[in-house]
Amino acid sequence: MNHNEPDELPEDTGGSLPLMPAEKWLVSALQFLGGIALGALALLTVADALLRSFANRPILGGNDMVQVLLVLVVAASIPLCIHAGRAIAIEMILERLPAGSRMVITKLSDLLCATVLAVLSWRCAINASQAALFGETTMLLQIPFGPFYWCLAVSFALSALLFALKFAGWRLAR
Amino acid sequence: MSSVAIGLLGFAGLFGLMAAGVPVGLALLASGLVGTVALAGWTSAAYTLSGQAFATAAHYELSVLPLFILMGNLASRSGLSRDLYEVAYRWIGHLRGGLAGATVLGCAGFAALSGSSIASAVTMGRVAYPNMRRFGYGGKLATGTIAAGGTLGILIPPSTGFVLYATLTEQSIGRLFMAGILPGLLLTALFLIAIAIIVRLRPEEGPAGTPSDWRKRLRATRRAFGITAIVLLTIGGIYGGIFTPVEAAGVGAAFAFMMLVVRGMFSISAMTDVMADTLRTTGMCFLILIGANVFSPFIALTGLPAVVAELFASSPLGPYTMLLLIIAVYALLGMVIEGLSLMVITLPIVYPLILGLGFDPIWFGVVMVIVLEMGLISPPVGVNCFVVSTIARDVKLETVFAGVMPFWGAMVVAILLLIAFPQIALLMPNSMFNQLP
Repeated sequence: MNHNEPDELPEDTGGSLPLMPAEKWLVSALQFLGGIALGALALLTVADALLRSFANRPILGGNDMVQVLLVLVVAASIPLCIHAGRAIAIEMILERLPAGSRMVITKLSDLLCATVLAVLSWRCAINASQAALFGETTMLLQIPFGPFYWCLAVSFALSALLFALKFAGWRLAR
Repeated sequence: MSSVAIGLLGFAGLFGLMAAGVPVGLALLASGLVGTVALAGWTSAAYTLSGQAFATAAHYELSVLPLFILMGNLASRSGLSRDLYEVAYRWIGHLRGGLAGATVLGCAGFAALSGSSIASAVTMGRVAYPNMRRFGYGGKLATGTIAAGGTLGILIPPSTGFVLYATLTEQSIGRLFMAGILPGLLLTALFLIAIAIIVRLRPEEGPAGTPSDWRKRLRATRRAFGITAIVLLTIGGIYGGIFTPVEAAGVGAAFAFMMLVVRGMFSISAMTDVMADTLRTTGMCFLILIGANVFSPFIALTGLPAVVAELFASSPLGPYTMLLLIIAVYALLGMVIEGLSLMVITLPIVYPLILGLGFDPIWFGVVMVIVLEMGLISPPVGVNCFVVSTIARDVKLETVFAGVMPFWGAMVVAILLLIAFPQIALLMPNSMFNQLP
């Protein structure tokens, strides 16, 4: 057995279509921002755990920071998941239909997904603008929720856009 | 229209959308939104929608998901899964059916690093399948072992199934993780017994591999230090009350990263792949969770759970008969609906029912996860079987499904044992050093 060979990742990370420049930029930006947030989340939890367990000095407001970092991770991850076609769907019935019906249903499904995500994005934007008004913050550090609502609003808007593009017949690279 | 009728329509709409191929998370969102509008009006529904989405994305406890997914991906990238298989292979590979046994043990070990069944099946399958075929293993046993062994991923902690269950039922993630350990070991043992029976009846299915000398065995065991350390840090840390599940996930991910660096496998491209995959899998889980957290309040508003609970309460059937009925329905639904989706769709109705019947919610979480595991290997949509068939391209899908049947039987035995002896699941969580959330 060769130990120098890394195991392959369990999930498909490659693709069948080349990325368009804008698409490539978007995916890279989301991966970069999400990766930074995820790295920070890991570092913060480790530092907090070690300081709490071994020095009895947990990071003040560590949980608050974890909360907002998680929002950033989720905001980056949802469009990436949709772009990669990784959202769990049941295709057993659809696959058994004739090609014509399947295409119509898939188009309607894409339209519905784009609409639901657009509504969700719109409502998150409204909450974002009202968060300051209602004093929505984290418990200890009082980090305002407004900017993080905006992140989710952008994330859902991008996800809606992906479904809208799919509806319009644009094949996304994976 | 009564609220219960609206609830039933909501379920019908949800299943209709899912049948049309709408991603499960978005089908839950759409049905939950429309249903809440019908019952409570637009303003309330709109606030539920964005409020629940944000509350889910900012839920402190849920940070275990990306962190444990990251840990699993880093461990996989640093070659730890290969080490796991090799240890088991060196020790039992020379026995008849030993390579299949090594695969199951490797899967059980990898399950302690990863919370995903598919990841376990793919990762271990790529290592174990070529080896089993090289030694003349039958396609049925080779593929069946990998598909079934992979299901241990969502039972042995860390487990995405338990995180979702805990979040939706407000149970402790740490206690559920602990509850999965002994049943996970029990199921591993039952899988090994199933392999022993298969090779006893059909010796040609699993011939003996090459024996390894002690030097090779000890070297392989030493190389598995990384895995042992991660398991001790994460599962041991939670059990000993040293770390909360979130902290354990962070520490586990950091240690897996160190292993990647120490083994000289760190590179920017490797980290980019790991991060990208972690983010995509995280998105998949959160999309379902956000949908479930919008759909659940709608179902609670309809009063449907109370009506169903009343219906069951007035039934002459005893609690155990009803439990078996619920399990049978889950096993049937698991054949057509993906496991985690099935869990989030049905919990708003089934969970109050289980509490009403007097069963322990932690124990039921374990039983439910095993039933969902059965779905992962049941035809026609047993995901693990499809995944394995992409690795074992020389074996027909029907053969893979036939190969998992003995293991499906082992899962039934595990459930019956759990019903007869609930302590198998409850002993560890009840003896935790510190009952941390």
